[in-house]
Amino acid sequence: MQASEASAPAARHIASVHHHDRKRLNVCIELCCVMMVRVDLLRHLRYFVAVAEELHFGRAAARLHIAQSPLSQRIKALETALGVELLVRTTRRVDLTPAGALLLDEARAVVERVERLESVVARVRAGETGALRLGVSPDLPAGAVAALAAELAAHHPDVRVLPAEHAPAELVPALVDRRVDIAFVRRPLDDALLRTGPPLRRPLGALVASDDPLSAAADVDLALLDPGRALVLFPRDAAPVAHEAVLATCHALGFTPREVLAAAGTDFAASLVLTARAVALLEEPAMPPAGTTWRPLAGAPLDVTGAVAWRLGDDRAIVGLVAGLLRAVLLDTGGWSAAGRPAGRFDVRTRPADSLLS
Amino acid sequence: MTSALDTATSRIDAAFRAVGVRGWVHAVDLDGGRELVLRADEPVVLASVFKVALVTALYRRHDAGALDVTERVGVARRTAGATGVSAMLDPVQLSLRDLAYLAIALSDNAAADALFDTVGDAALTELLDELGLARTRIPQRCRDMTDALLADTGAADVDGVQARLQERPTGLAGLSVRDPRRTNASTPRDMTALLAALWDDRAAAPASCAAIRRLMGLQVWPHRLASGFPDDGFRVAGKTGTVPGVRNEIGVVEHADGARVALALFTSADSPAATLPQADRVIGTAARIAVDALRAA
Repeated sequence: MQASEASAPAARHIASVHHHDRKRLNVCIELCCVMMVRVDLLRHLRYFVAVAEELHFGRAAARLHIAQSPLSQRIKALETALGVELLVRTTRRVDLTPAGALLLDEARAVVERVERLESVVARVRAGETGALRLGVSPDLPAGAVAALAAELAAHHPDVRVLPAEHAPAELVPALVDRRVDIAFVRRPLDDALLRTGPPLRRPLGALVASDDPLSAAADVDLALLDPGRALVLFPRDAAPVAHEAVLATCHALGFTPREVLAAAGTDFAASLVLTARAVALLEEPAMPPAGTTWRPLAGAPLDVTGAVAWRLGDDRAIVGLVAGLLRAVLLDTGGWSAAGRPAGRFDVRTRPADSLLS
Repeated sequence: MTSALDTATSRIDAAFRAVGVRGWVHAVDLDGGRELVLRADEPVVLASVFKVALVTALYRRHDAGALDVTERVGVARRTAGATGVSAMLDPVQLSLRDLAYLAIALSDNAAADALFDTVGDAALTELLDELGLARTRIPQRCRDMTDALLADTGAADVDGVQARLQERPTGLAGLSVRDPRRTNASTPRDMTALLAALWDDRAAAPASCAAIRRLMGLQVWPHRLASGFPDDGFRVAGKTGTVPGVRNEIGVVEHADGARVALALFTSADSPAATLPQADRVIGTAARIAVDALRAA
C-alpha cells in the first residue's frame, strides 16, 4: 500500500509532462536501455534465456537467484535496446514472439560460448590445462611419447605436450633452467631443485656377440663369466654411484672383469662387444644391433632406475596429470616396472656398525 | 715443486672420489705441528662425533665438583639406537662414567642423551668457548636427530628409515641431519683441536683427559679409521659418526716410535645404501696416507 501511495505523485508528475517532453523522455529511456544492455549484454542475454526457457518470470527469477522486478526491468531494457518485442506477456503466461524465438538460439550460443571461455580460463589459472614441454632423451622408448599423446588426445584434449630432444645428461639442467617442464630421468638423482614421481625399474641384461656361446643360453650368469672378459658399461661420469654399484655387484657375484670399457650408446657398446668379445651390461634395446644378441641376467641382480621429474614448486595440476600418465605409459609399454621391494625379500635394515648415529 | 704433503692430499682426495664420496680431512702431528689439510675449514656434520665433546663436558663438570662421574643414574627416556642401552630391554642403572664408556665405545645413543640431560647445554657451550672451537655448534641431542630423520622420511620408527630412504625419490637430498646449518656441526680443524687438547691434558684435568683417551681406545669399530692401521705397531683411538650417506671418524693414531697424529675425517656419499664397505674403508686408507706422510715429513 505504502509503495503505491508513494509512487502516486510521480505518476501524476509524468502524466502532467507536456507531450513534447514525453517524447524526449522516451528517447532518454531508450538511450539508457541501450547503454545498460551494451555494458552488460551478457547478463541481459542470460536473463532472457532463463525467462525464455522457463516461460515464467517467477521461476526464471528463482533460477537466477534474483527478485522478479529487476528481472522484468532488464528484459524490458533488452527489448527497448534491440527495438523488438521478445515476449508476449499475458496475465497467466509468457510466450516468445517469433523474434524472441530467433534470439533465444543466438543468445544461448553466446552464453554457452562465454561460459566455456570462462571455464577454460579458470582451468588454465588452476593449472589443469595448457601445454607442457616434455624433455625426451634418445633412450626413452619410441612408443612412449606417442602413447602419451594419444592418451591426452583421447581424455584430456586441452592438455598438450611439446616434446624436445635432449641428451640424457642434459635433462636435469634443462629442467632446472626451465627449458623443459617434465622429463623421464635416470636415478640416483640428488638434485634438491627437482621433484620426482615414484621410481621405475628396468633390468640390465647382457649384450653379447650372436656367435658367442653365451648367446645360446636363455640367460647370462655373471657368476660364471670368465674374468678374462672385458665389461662394457655406461660411462662412470654419467652416474658415478650407479656405476660403482654395478661393479660392486659384479664383484660380489664373483665376476671381476679384466677391463671396464665405457659406452654411452647401444651401437658403440655393440662395436666393443664385437671387436673385444666383451660383455656389455645394458637395458634391453628395442632391436639389438646386427651381429649381437641381448640376454637377461640370471637372477636379475642388476637394474637401472628412473623416474618422472619436474621442478620443485611446480605443483600445477597439469604437471601431476602428465607425470602420472607418462609413468603409466612407461609401465604399460616401455619395459619399466614399479621399483617397489620385490615380494619375499626382507626389509632393508642397517647393521649396528652402520646404524644411525653409530 | 710439490711437497710430499701436497701429494698425499691429492692421493687422499682421489681415494675419496674413487669410491664415490666427498671427503674433508685435517691431520696434525701433535708433536711437530705439521698438518695435512683437505677442505679442513669447511663446515661438516658431526653425527655421533659430538659425543667426544659431550663426554669431555661431563668430565669437566666432574673436575669442577658439579657432579661425580661415579654417581649412578637410571636411563628413563631411551633414545633409539642399535647398541648399548639403546638396544637393551630392561631398566638399567649405571654410573655416569660407564654411560660415557657406552656412548664412546659403542656410540650408545640412549647413554649419550642421558649424559646430555645431566650435563646440560651450558656446559657444552662453555667447553667450546674455552677451547676456542668457534666453528663448532652442538644444539641437538641424539633424539633430536632421530626425530628429524623420522620427520624428513616419514618413517614410523628408526627401523623403517632405511627402507624409506631407498624409496625416496629425492634420495638423501634435503635431510636436515646432513645439513651443517641444521644439526650438530664443526670443522675438521676444530675437531683435531679438541683431540689435541685431550691428548695434551688441556681439555680437562689430566686424569679426566686420560679417562676419555681410554674410552676412545676402547671403541669397538674396526671398519673405518682402524682399518688403515692393521698392525700392532699402531694404536688407534677414535669416535665414529654416522647418518645417512655420512661416515665420519675422528681419532688419534700413535706409533710405537712415539709419533702421535690427530685426525678428523668426514665423508659424504650420495648413495642411500646403509652398507657401503668401500666408503668405510676409505677413511682408514686416507688416514694411513696422512699418517705416513706426516711421519715422513
